[in-house]
Amino acid sequence: AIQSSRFSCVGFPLAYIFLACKKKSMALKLKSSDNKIFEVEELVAVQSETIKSLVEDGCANNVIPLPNVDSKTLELVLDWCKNHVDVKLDEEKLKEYEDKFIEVDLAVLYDLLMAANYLNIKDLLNRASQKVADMLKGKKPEQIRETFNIVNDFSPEEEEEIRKENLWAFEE
Amino acid sequence: MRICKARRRSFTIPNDLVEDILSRLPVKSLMRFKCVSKAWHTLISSRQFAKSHFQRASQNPSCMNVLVLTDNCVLSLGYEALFHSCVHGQPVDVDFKGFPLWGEEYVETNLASCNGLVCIELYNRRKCTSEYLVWNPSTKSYKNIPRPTSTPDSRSCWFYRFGFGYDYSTDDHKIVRPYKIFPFDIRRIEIFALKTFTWKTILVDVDNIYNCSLPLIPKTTYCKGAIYWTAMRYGKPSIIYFDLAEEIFHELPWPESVLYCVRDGSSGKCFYTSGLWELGTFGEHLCLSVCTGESRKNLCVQLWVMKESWTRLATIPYLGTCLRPMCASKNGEKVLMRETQVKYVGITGECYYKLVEWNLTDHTCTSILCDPSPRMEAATYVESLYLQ
Repeated sequence: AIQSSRFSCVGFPLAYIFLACKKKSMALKLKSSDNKIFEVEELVAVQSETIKSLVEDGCANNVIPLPNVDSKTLELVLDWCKNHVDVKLDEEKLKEYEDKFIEVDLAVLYDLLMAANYLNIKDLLNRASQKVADMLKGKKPEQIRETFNIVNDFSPEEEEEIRKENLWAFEE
Repeated sequence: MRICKARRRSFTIPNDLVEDILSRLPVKSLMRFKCVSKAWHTLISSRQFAKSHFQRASQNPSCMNVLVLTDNCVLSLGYEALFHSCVHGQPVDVDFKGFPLWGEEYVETNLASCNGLVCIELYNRRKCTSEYLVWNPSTKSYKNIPRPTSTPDSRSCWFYRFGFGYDYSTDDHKIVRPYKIFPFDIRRIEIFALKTFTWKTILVDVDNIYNCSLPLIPKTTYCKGAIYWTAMRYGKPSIIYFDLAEEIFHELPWPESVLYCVRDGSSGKCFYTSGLWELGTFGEHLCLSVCTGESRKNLCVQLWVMKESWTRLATIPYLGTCLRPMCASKNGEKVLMRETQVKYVGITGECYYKLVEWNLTDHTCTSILCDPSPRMEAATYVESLYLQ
């Protein structure tokens, strides 16, 4: 937390000057998997390391296609990015925002997780991974398999054996 | 590239994300998820995963615990609850086969902990022999450690306090046991490596730093790859430590400004407070707790933390006890310590121990869990998968 606030203190004036000089010309166009175009300030979009490297390589002049992210998810992701650019938000407010943001059902969370991974947005990925972990914590192995579509490749005897080794872990 | 959206979606997560997500889970959930699939079983059982899980858990206060051994039970206290008002220990199941924690009168139980594992020593004061067991309270797994085969007859040697630590260079936990052979002043150190499950002996040169006297009462402290002993060198209190990777002893001097000889106001005699100091940890740092002062009537306990150099953390009133710092609250305001008080019956003194929580801001002290007892050991541990 200290590091991120230090970063924003230093980052803000620089970023501000940067924006002021380049003005509107630095808007980027992102295209979602369902072909919707999102126009966003570069400063918002480059929180994604993936987009950042495209910009740095000069590949961001036209529309940037994001075939792995649908428009619903991209909208959420960009909202997250916008809120993490605005340094006027203090730490407490940011935490409040994040807590509310991540309070979604598993399907949306999964999309956010995959998008954050693909776009390489560290803080979002961290937050989404933690949320998935919190959701898994109290689950039974059967529920895990069902949720993540995992095939049980143990024979019933093998599974029973492993369960027996850690019976205490199955108690409430 | 046609993706059919079924009504019920399945969530397939890439392997590296699975590993990252699982490393955030408590040990209990992971032990249960071992039977999800063969791939998950292999991942959760792997050494590499235990390492990354530990790295994350050690940053998370809710994964930290204090283990307390009293004269009839073992309790575990969550670190977060510990520094809040109501403190109740959870009883822990400690039925170790062939390793009774309570029983014989002459057997002393000692604890040392490091990176999620707790090493228990049963020291037989009559026979001067020790037996060891390494235990992970989170996974409930334990290993009885074999006796070293090369140790000389216990009647001809003098054992110092054992240590337990983690060697970064070999990614292994080690038990360290220094001793001295009579009547020649031969010093050796025995090391047990958990991975290879064997003891080895290191001979120590005469001019080694380890050639100093190691007081017997204070316990060792593990901190960042080394084991620390309180020591006396040339009449002065000192700290020596054994680097587990280098297998070499080093010396760490006391903070310069700390007086170990306090002049008596009227007689001018020197009152040594060198017996009234202990080592411990504060957060991830080595911490020295020492009784000192301007005069004998004006004693206090100073806490020093070893960061790049010694930094004074706090000064608290001296209440006639010796304090071992064990862990600090998240904001560093409170510190948990094991208090030792010597009570005299005639000329024989007996040590009484209890856990206290010092608030360093307002200098208040709260007793935790139990009354002073001649038998109370405590150790901190982080939830880990190191021994399954």
